[in-house]
Amino acid sequence: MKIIYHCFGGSHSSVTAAALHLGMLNRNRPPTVEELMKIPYYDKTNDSDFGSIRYMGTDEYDNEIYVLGKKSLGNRYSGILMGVAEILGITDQLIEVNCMNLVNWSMKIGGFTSRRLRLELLGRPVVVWGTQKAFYELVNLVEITRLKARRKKISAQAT
Amino acid sequence: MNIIFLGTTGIHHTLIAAHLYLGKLEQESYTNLKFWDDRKREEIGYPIFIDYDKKRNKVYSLGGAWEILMTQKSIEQLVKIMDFSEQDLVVKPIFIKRERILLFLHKIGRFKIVNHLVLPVISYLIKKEFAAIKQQVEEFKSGVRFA
Repeated sequence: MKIIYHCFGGSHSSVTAAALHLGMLNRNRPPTVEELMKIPYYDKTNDSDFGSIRYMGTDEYDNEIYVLGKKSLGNRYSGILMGVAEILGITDQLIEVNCMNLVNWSMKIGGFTSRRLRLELLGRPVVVWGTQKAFYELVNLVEITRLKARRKKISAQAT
Repeated sequence: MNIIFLGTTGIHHTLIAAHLYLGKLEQESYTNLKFWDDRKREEIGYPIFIDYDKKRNKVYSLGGAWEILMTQKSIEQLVKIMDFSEQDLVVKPIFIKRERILLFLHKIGRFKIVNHLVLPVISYLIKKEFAAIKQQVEEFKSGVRFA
C-alpha cells in the first residue's frame, strides 16, 4: 500500500503528518524546533519540488509513505490521484490524504515567508509555531489514515 | 494502454484533442460533444473517459488548472511508484495560447448567468486554437509507441 500525504507546498503539514505516521515524532507532545528540523523535507523544499511525489519511508505494516506539494489545486488533486489509480485498477493500493484542512494561518504565513520569499529567519519560527499548534489535529489525521490503511489491507486480503 | 489528454480544463480543448485523436471530430462542431463544458464532471477532478481508440487504448480528458506540467509530473511519478510504466499510461499535455483566459472564463462561468455569457466566448477562443490543438494531436499520434 502507498500512502500519499499532500498539502500546498509538501513542506510542512504533509511532511509532519508523514513523519508522525513513520514514528519519527512523539505523538504525545508537540515537537520541538530541533525535532521538526530533523525531519527530511521539513521547511526545506523549493519550487522544483512542486508536484514531486517524495518518498519518506516505510511503516511497520509495509506501507510506503510519500509526501506531495500540489499548490492551490486543493481537493482536485485527490480526484486526479485517485482517478489515475482507478484507471490503473489499483484503488485498493493507494490512499491519498489531503492535509490542507489542518493548515492554520501561522503555517500559511510562515510557510510563505520561509519558502516563497526565502526569508527563513523570519518565516521558520512562525511556521514551526503553527505546526506545533496544529500538531494534535495532525496526530488525529494520521491515526485515521493508519486505520484506513489497515482496513483497506484487510479487505484487499479478504477478496 | 491509457492515454490522458491534459490541459487547463478537461472539458474544452483537451476534450477536442481526445476526439481528434479518436478520429471522431473532423469539423469544428465541438459544442455538441459529450462532456463539453460539463462543469460537474470537471469539478470531480477524475479523468473523463472518452472512448477506446482502434487499438483498444482508453482515451481520457483531464483538467489540471494552472498547473499542467506539475500535474503531468505527479501523474507520471504516481504511475512509476505504483510499478506501472509509460506502456500503461501516457499523459499528453495540450497547450493553447489563450489557456489563461480560458481558465479565467471557466472560473467566472461557475455562476449560471455568467456562464451563458462566457460560453460563446470560450467557443470562439477554442475555434481560434483549433489548428494548434490538431497539430499537437498529430504530433502525438506520430510519436507515441503503443504496447
